[in-house]
Amino acid sequence: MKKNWQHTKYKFIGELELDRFDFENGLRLFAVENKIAPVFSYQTWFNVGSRDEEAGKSGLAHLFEHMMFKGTHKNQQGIFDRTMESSGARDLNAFTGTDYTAYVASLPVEALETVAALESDRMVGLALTKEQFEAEREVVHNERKQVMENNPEGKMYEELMKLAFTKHPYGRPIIGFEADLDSMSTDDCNAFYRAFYSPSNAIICVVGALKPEKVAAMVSKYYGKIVPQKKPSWVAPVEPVQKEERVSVLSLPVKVEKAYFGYKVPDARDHDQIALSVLSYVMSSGRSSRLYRALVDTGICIDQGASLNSSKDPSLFFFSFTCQTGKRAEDALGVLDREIRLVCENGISQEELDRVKNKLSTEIHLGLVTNQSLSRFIGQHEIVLGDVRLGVEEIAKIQAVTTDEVKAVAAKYLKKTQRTAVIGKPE
Amino acid sequence: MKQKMIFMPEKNAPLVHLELALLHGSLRDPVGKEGTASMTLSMLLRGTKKRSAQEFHRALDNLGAEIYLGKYKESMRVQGVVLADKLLEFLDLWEELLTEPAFPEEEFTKVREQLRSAFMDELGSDDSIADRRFQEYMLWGNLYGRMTSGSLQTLDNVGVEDLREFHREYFRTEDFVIGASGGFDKKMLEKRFRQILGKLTPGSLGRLEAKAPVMKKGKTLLLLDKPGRSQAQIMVGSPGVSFENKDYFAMLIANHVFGGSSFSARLMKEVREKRGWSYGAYSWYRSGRKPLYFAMQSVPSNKDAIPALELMAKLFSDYGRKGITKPEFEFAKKSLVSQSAFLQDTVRKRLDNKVTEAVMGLPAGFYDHYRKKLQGLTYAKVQGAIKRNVDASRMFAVMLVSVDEIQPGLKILKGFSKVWRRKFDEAPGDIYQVNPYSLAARRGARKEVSARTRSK
Repeated sequence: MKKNWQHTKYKFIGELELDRFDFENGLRLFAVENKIAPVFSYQTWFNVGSRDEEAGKSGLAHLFEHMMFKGTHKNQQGIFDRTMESSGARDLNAFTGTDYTAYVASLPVEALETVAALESDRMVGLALTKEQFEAEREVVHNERKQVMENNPEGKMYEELMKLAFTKHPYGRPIIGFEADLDSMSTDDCNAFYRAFYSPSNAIICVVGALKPEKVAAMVSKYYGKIVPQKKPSWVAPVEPVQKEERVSVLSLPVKVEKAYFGYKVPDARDHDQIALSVLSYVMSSGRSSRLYRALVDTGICIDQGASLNSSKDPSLFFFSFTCQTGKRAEDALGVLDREIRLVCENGISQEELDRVKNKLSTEIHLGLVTNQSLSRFIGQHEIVLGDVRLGVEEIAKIQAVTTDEVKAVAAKYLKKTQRTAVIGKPE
Repeated sequence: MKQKMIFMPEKNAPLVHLELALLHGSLRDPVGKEGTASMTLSMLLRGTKKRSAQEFHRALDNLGAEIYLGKYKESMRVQGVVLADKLLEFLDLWEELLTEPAFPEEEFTKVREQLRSAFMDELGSDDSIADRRFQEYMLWGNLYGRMTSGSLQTLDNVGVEDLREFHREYFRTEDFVIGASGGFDKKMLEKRFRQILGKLTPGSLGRLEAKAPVMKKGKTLLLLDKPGRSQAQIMVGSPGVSFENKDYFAMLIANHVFGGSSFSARLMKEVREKRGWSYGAYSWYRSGRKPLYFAMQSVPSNKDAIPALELMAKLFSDYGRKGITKPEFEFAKKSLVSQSAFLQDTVRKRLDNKVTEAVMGLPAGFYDHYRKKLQGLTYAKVQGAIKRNVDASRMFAVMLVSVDEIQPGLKILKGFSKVWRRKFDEAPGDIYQVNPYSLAARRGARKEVSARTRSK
């Protein structure tokens, strides 16, 4: 077979190697041979998410993700699922984020050709009907009710993002506003499909007991003839600089108070991201972390968390608290302010930093053992950072972070003027 | 010592996973003191005779290690993960937490207050509270119906001395299963675990053989009223199958067709794909050493709640009466046989399987022979198993919903002969001891339920 790809090889994680194949139509394939069991993970990542939706079309990327499981010109509705499942597919699923949409499955090695045939078919051959669209929109309305309307934490998260981002699409829920979903049509889906679903806007990640060259040949066979398409040139609007704290208090069907806080942080490619991720661990990971000791050990909260959003565009550093019965979210906020001030003024100890580095080492080893998690690592970093190798480099960079860098990022980003707060109180 | 040890060393692996399973779980909770076993386990991480809780966690976090607690009805599990080069220090911590827990009063008070708040927090989560009430009401009166976490009602009955007693009585040298995978020396680890377990109360108490739950005949609906909801949480239960049931594997295939985790399953196709009534619609068996229950679930909008319940019940009845078709059987068998490769695709899973076999008293190699057991099944065997194990004349449905929102549907509800109504945050009890929700109330004439008279 004539090779219609360029092949490069990189060192990946641990003993693993990463093979990259660039096809003439713009498709990128990443393959990792992992011989631990006769199975593999097959993931298709599209460089499109809710960030790419226009105002008034919130939820389209996610609704369209649902539509991808309907019929194509070649395979009528149901054949995709039945064929994949009878080939032994596990975890057959898809998810939409702000920056990407991914279609995932784990299969026995014999099913490589089956999945390549089916996935390549639906990449460009979808045939949507109005009936399918309307039934699926109803499903999405129900999903929205389940994860947002009838879920206090979902409601709080939606409010937090809406308040924090006034212009940027990160302020709109991935699942969409109800009114936007109601106003959508099959035509919107078809236009979205044509704009964003093509080989040049996709990457395929295959990790498992398969030779990379064999995977490349199979991908070439099924995707090689798909016509390349111009890459979408969408530029998300820039979020204006936040100048003062934004606060919203929601009355919710809960029995204990809850609070979400978000501080503006730079995009995933920014140098400060690594120190920020160490900071999130210093603040909240483990029972010896600062916020566990200050909030949970003292009886103010039953639960606390901190996390960092690593996105294409500037996003948020989150804190979340669930209070003990009778305690107020404002009390938790007072403690958070004090703990942030202490880090900003005094920094963190070397012991704390070493502890976090050990924890991160364990978590990295733990989080990157399965074929699915390795595929996800590749897909997410290739799309969000623009190069998976930067993701691999980040792992090493964590070990080089200093106490001064952690102190500096705390002072730079955990400012009140950059904060958005949503407090949930019992009705 | 007779405890079972399962070691799966992997050369050069960067991590070590440890698993320690105690063959006693919340079934051992004293009556009225539900939550005792669970709180005992929590308190293992709340300070030892050598270190305070804070000192213990500082030492643990310094290693970058994690310890997870698994609380179940038939067992209690302590699982841990650590970098391989820090294993020895990690084992010292395990020795302390298992053999020298201090049960300090101050920490016990914290645990109890956190639990109280967690129960209150759970009331804000529709799916969690629906699932809890489903189990509490459906298995009411059986040891398996008592929740492992206890409840708001039993929390205050448990004192720190109960936990000390539980630890003394049930943490027996021979009542453990130990497992490990990753980068370790097998001889060293075996010796170290024998030292640790040798410090506990000697001997074995044997397993507690609790009676299997028995469901009443008839179709019952319990409405859990939660105002202001736009969706209903529906769970429908029926008799289950145990791991030891000779039809267990046949019923895995049958359930895959009916409502297993497949978009081709009947429930998913009928409830979600055709009608768009719910984001998901599934069924599963909750199995243990005894058959616990079969359950199906969907989450429709208020307007579709009654039709969805009726449809789920009808699909289940049809399935019980006619079984599955041959093409459905062939599809499900092929899918499950192929998927069985994922039961053993990591060393960690292989270890978990072996530990589960030992904890549940399953025949050795239960998971190794999984594929063969499925391959050996015929259509006739599965149809026979459905006849023996699906009893659609016994259904218990719980619907967490804003009852006022579904009144029109309730008036014409078919198939459920008895309907009860309780508040979602009301303490559970034996609903059969009170009158069902009267037809008059269902027609909107009155909303109260008489709780004073006994039903026949």
